[in-house]
Amino acid sequence: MSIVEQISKLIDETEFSDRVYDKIKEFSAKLKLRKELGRKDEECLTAEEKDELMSLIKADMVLDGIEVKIYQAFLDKVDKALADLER
Amino acid sequence: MAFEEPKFETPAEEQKPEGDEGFKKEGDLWVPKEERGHIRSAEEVETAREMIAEENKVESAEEREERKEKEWKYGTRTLERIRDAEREWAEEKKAMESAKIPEKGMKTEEILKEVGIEKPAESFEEIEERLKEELKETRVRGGEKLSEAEEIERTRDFYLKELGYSLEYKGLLRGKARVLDAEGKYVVDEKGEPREFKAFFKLEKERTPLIDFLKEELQSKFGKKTEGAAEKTEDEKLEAGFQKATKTAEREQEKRAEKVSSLGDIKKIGKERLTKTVEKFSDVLSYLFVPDKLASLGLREGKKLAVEEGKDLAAANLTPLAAIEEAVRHIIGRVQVGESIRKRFIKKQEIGALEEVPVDERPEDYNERVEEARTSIEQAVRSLIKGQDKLRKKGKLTKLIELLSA
Repeated sequence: MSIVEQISKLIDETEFSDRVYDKIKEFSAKLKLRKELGRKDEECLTAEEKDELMSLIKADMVLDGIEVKIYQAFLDKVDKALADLER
Repeated sequence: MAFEEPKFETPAEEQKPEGDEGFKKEGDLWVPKEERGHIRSAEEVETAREMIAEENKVESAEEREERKEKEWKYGTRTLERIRDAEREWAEEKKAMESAKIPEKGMKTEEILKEVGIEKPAESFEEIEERLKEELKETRVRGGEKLSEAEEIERTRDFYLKELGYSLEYKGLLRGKARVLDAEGKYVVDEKGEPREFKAFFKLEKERTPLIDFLKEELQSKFGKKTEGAAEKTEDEKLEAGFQKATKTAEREQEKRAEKVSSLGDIKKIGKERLTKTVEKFSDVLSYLFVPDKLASLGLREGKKLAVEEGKDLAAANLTPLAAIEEAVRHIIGRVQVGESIRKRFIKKQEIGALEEVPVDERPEDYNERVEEARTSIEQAVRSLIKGQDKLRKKGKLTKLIELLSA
């Protein structure tokens, strides 16, 4: 599987926030189309497009990261409450 | 008028009060615009009240009534906690708005590390490095460094986590500890007996046998690794890190589930204590599911991440603060279970007080609450693991995109 195909597959499998979802889909479509037109992997995205795509995915990772941190902090508080009750 | 009226000749009472529009000039005198005895409208009273400095304000009868009712309903300590949380939220929010966004954002690895998905260490030295860093960075009680005892405890927990091991305490005072491996089986000694260590330690002693044992286990683990086994790919490392994070979350959940179900075990602790315990616990849970509380948790925990990645967030039209608010909104959408506990809890309190239902006569309700608490904890664990999975996939995606230009 080429890199572009792997990227397209991963994008289809991964959940993104509503905010960036449309843009990510747009990039994914562009990638596929250019690949089908017979371009090399490295020619499927321009440098600017690549940077934008990376930024969007990273922005989404931050949102996920904050969520994970909130859940972890919530569970830590639950653990603390349970430990208090045991005493 | 032929000359300017000197100010000192005007009696103090007749001078136009500053900031007050209620006076007009008639001849040489300042007189009120309205006739004496004018009855002010509700709006006028409100605007007049707003002009009074905060420290000089007196509580109105309605406000007092409202405050008393709230205090009766939620308890003064809960209200105090909410006020503290609000203050903390406001302070953090202010700090976030003025935070400086670094020139370069974090790398993908750093984001993953921030949320607990770390590349597994490749050598014992690397583990020692990480431990050193953790001990150096961790601060307790308002910025103090760790005490010697805390350092020992953290070192033990760190090694346990790295190995995927856990402890099972034994004895009346939980004075002995057996080591369980990643599959939950006892780690045995040469005779095939489970290994047992003292669960406490003496500070003046230089050696702590449990930590020494864990250290040896780690060293032998890496010894074995270097002998055989080919180098792992980046992808495999990411996967291994994710598996480790998932396992830790699941193991912790098992412990929690055990504790929560023991809350519901009526025979163990007796009705009266159970009532108090469950109430206290569901209070903590419901309090945490208050959107404001989750938001301040988010602010505190996600601050570094959001600020460091401010540049990339801007690509999605988000400021660091907006990113946190969006993440919190997303979570709140999923925690209706917790919200319903909160509402029911408040309602029950009211009904309980109004009808004075003896607590002993409604134990079934508590079992239900324990069940709900369990559900919301499980939900949080599932969401945590799902979030970590999303992060892992996106991490993989960025690695692949980076390859496009290589």
